[in-house]
Amino acid sequence: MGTYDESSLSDMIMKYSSMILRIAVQNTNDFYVAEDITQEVFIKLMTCKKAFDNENYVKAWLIKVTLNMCKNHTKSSWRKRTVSIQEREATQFFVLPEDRYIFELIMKLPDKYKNVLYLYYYEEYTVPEIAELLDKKINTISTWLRRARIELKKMRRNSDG
Amino acid sequence: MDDNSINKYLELMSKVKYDSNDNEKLFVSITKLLNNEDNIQIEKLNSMNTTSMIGADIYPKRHSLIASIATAAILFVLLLVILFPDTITSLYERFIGVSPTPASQTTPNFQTNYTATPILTPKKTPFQTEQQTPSPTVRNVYIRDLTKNEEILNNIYHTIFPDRTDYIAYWMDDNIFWAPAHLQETINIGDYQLYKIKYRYELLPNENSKILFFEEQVVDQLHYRHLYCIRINSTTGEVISKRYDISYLEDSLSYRIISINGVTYLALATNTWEHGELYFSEIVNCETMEPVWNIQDLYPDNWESYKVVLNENGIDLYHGERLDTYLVNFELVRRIPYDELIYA
Repeated sequence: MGTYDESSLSDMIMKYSSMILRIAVQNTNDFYVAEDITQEVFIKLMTCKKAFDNENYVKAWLIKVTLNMCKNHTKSSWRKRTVSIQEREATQFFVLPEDRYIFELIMKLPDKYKNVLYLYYYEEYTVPEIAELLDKKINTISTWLRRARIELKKMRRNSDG
Repeated sequence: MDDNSINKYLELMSKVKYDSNDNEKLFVSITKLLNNEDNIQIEKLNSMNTTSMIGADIYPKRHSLIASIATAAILFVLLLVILFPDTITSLYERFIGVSPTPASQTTPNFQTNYTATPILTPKKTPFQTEQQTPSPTVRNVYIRDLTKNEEILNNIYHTIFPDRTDYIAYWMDDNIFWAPAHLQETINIGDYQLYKIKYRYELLPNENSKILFFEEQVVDQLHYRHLYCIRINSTTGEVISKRYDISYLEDSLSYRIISINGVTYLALATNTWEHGELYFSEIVNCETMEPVWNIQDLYPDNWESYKVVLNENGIDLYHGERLDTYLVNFELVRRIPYDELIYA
């Protein structure tokens, strides 16, 4: 075990499991893989020897690790060989067919756009904070954010039309 | 900007979540895995010890006997607690003086804690009205008195956008931008992203005038942007000449003021974006604001594939080959001096 005990693990799970799951779902579009990644991230947290100064660092660390794990999963040859099965897809979270449809559209956005959208709007990180988190320039993040909005708008327009 | 798309995105993402049962399952599976890992480590250690100490008695028999007695005692106490909980509690209070901690408090209570933590509600909907979400922090956005030059800029802004009578100048990170005056108490990073209009201006050499660039970000049609090139008298603020016909601008505008044979030119290079990366570059005569060269002169059919880097004496011309939707590989085609482009 690392610097965390079981009690702090339960706290971390309650606070961050859904955040990690959302990031993983966005990046993999596979519910089961997203669950595996969520579990792996927490195991990594529990076994890492890193001491965090405060909760913000823990959160940022969890986001980084999740994104890296998603990238590793995307790169893996296993994923390239397998075909997406509908029941594994993240759309199972949605009851309404319309929600499923729109979520499927969102899943078609490039991962980098989905990630900045999520971090900016959902997690309320600022552009400079996201830039630091993703190790990119502030201008790059601004650009991605703007393009993500444009794409999202187009998708909505197409789905409404 | 269509706020519905963002709100819909947030709404959908809020449905992707772990409930309390999922959290509990996750906790159990992680602790199991971690314990297994620990056990595996111990087993590995034991097997290493056994191998290195073949024939040795690693656990002496008396230790096993003590362990058995201790286990039996613990089981007996547990049995008593289960069969006579009240008696045990009163005895405990009598001899120890405090109530034992209920077992439920020593294990994580997911249900209680989970419902008390509103982390699943989307926190930010940047397009909600002031009444719905008063902004908690003003992020370094401020208003101050205008300097003389800024006064000129402000006048130009209102000349370009005469309908924006309620817009005032704000500063953020030393960048000026204009936004509706009623936002001044609540303006946040979202508003800044929405309303910021970057401007750059340069003093033209040997002239009592300035050239000013506006990259306009139209609020309701975000992907339409324009570059305004305006030549003004820096003393009077009088607009001498202007031009604003480049659209679909991206924020990677680069420019250089160049002087060739006593004439001042403005070289511009930008990447434009609509359904992918496109590149555009041109050179404008600052006196007339008329273009004297643009990339279409060299490549009329596929000008958008050529990216220009502006150097001190000329341009570096790169051809971009698209590898996939968002990845382009650039190859240097040639270097061309400015005068060769202008007098071609």
